[in-house]
Parts: sequence; C-alpha cells; structure tokens
Amino acid sequence: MPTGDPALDTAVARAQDGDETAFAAVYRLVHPGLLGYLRGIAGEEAEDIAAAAWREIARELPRFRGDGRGFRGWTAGIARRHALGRPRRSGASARPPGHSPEALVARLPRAQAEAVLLRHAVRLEEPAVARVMRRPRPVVRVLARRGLRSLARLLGTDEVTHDVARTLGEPG
Amino acid sequence: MSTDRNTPEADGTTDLDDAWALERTAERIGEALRRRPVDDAAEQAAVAAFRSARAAGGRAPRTRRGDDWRPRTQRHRWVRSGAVALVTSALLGGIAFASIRVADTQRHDTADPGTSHSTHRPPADPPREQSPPAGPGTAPTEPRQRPGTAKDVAAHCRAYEHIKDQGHALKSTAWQRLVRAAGGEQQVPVYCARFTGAAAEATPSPAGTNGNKNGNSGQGQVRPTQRHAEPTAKAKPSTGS
Repeated sequence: MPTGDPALDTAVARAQDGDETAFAAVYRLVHPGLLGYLRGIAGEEAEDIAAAAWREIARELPRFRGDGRGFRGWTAGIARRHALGRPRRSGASARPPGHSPEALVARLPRAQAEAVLLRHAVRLEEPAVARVMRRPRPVVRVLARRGLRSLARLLGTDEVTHDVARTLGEPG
Repeated sequence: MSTDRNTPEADGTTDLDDAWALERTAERIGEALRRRPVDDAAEQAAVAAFRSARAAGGRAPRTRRGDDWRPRTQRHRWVRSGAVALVTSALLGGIAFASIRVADTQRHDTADPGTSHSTHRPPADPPREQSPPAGPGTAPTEPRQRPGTAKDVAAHCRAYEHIKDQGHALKSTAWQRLVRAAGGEQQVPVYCARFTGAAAEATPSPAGTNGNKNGNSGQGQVRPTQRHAEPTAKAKPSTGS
C-alpha cells in the first residue's frame, strides 16, 4: 500500500484551483484503479458508470477536502454510489469471459469483491475501505480476507501465485 | 456470504505462507485490473465536464460531511482520549463508592471498634472540639465544616478498618476526605475512635438530623450547629483507656 502520493496531492490541489491540466493528471492517476473496481463489480457497464462518476467528480470537486489519498476514497465512494444505482446483472452473461481478473473477481459475493477491489485495485487503506463501504473495519477486514481466499481457491489452491502469474501474464 | 469450511489451508500449510500468498494474489489482481488501457475519449469527456463546471462558476459549494476526507488530526485524538479518560474516571469513582457502601453494610451489624488494635489508643493531639470556635477558615478546622455528618464519618471509619489494606480504595474521594479530616493517614484510627465509640455508645440521632439540615447549606466554618458535635466530644473519654 502506498503511504503517500505527492503527485496526486499536488494535482488535486491545483485542479481545485481550476487548473484543467491538473484535472487531466488527476484523471490519469485515479481512473485506472476506479475502473478496475467498477469492472470487478459491474462488468461491462463499468465504463458507463465511470463516465457518470467522473461527471459528478468534476462538478463536486470544489466541495472536496483532503489530500490525494483522501481523494481516492472520495472518488471511490462516488463511483460506488453510481454502481449501486444500477442493479447487478446476474448470470453467466454478465460475467466477463475466461480467466481474466475481472472474471475471477466477478465470481465472488459482492461485498467480498468490493472489499478486495477497493483495497487492491483502488489501493485504499482499510479505514477508507470501511468508510466507502459503510461497514465497520473488522467486517471489511474479514470480507477482504475471505475474498482473497476464495480467489485463491478459484485459481487452484496448491500453486496460487504461479497460477495467478500465468493467468495474469496473458491479459485478454 | 460464502463459508470457508473446506478451505485447504486448514489442513496444514502455515498461516504465514498462506497470508503471503493471498497478499501476492491480491497485488497481482489489483495490478492487472489497473493495467487496462485508458480510453482517451473518456478522459476528454471528464475534462470537458470539469471545464463546464468551472464555466458555470458561482460560489464555492458547501463541503458536506461525506466530502471531508482530511486525515484525523491531533485534535480529534485528544478529544477522543479525553472522553475515554472521563468515562474511565467516572467508572472507577462509581466502583470505589460502591465498595464503600458494600463494606459499610457488611460491617454495620457487627460494628465492633474493639477489634482493631489501634482503636483504643488515646488521641495524640488535643481534641479539636475544645479549640475556640471563632477561628476563621483555616485548614485544621476542616473536619468541623460538616458537623452533622458524624454518623457518616462513623460509617466510613468502620468501612476504613475493613478496607484500609487495599491501596486503590484509599484513593477515592471519600477516603481522602476522611484522611484529610483526621489530619493524616496515621491519625485516622485516633480520629475514628471518637466517632465509632460515640456511635456504639449512644445513637446521636438529634445531632445527625440537625446537622444534616444545616450542614448542607454551605461551607461556613463556624455555625450554631457546632454544638451538636458535642456528643462526639463527650464520647472521647469513654474511648480513652
């Protein structure tokens, strides 16, 4: 987990002052993690949800108070609200195909998937994950651990890391 | 919520290895999820939204609670630890008072001042009741501020005998008041001898009731009710050997 993010700190502060270039930098720093999270919980709708979330982020940015780390949590909360606004499509058709990371995470129960993704895709720290999910910290910790275990089981238990490496080595 | 009953890590692999492997799994999945190419059009749309929000301008909107992601400050921590300290001290105080009352009720029926070896020691210093009653508020006159509580003092004395070896109990306010009234921890048995002796000999009910009525009214050092403390003064010769 990164302890600090000076580049994002500066970019957020300058974007709040109205700097358009800084806002683009913020987008490039934050969007990948956000999109990873949304892909894991919303599948193919992730891009649409992300676009709606970014419109709100751009509009509400003057309200935000905090540094880069706080900004990741704040934006994750906005993205989550947009994702929850849409019903999660169930069934195999909603799942991304194959052994892509999205496909693996999509097979977890939603709360576990969220805990894992917020922690490891968005790279939030535990208190921030708890705040975004509106759950107590111990619950979030258990959810993340269970989610990881389930992932490990899905990947095959005896050679977890190797399997993941092989699976993730060939994206798409 | 899925259950992990049949997880293979229960069979013998160490938790540490397991945790490490899970952490690696998580890191790799997180990295893979973030590594997807960023759509330029999406970025342009976001920046356009930012530009139009700027153009709309207006006053800076109010920051709602959910928008404040500043880290917890030192001040928050102080407030929290202060609250914890307050609750703790209230709890401990309550326990101390409860222990006084329990000890008191236990001793009440079998109150016997003779059980203590030091109870019958004659008073080392001259009894304060005989000093001129006109002295303005100085520290030594403190025990006579509330003359009507003789009965209470007697009760505390009996409880004190019972509990004096338990150091923490002596820190409570009631004990400290007793010790202060006696003029030091060494003087407590002497001081108590007067009250417990009086209580055992005769019930000073008029002194108790009158004193309570008047004693609650303030911090005045000298008042007519002073005379009601006399039973305790009279009791003194009876306790001396």
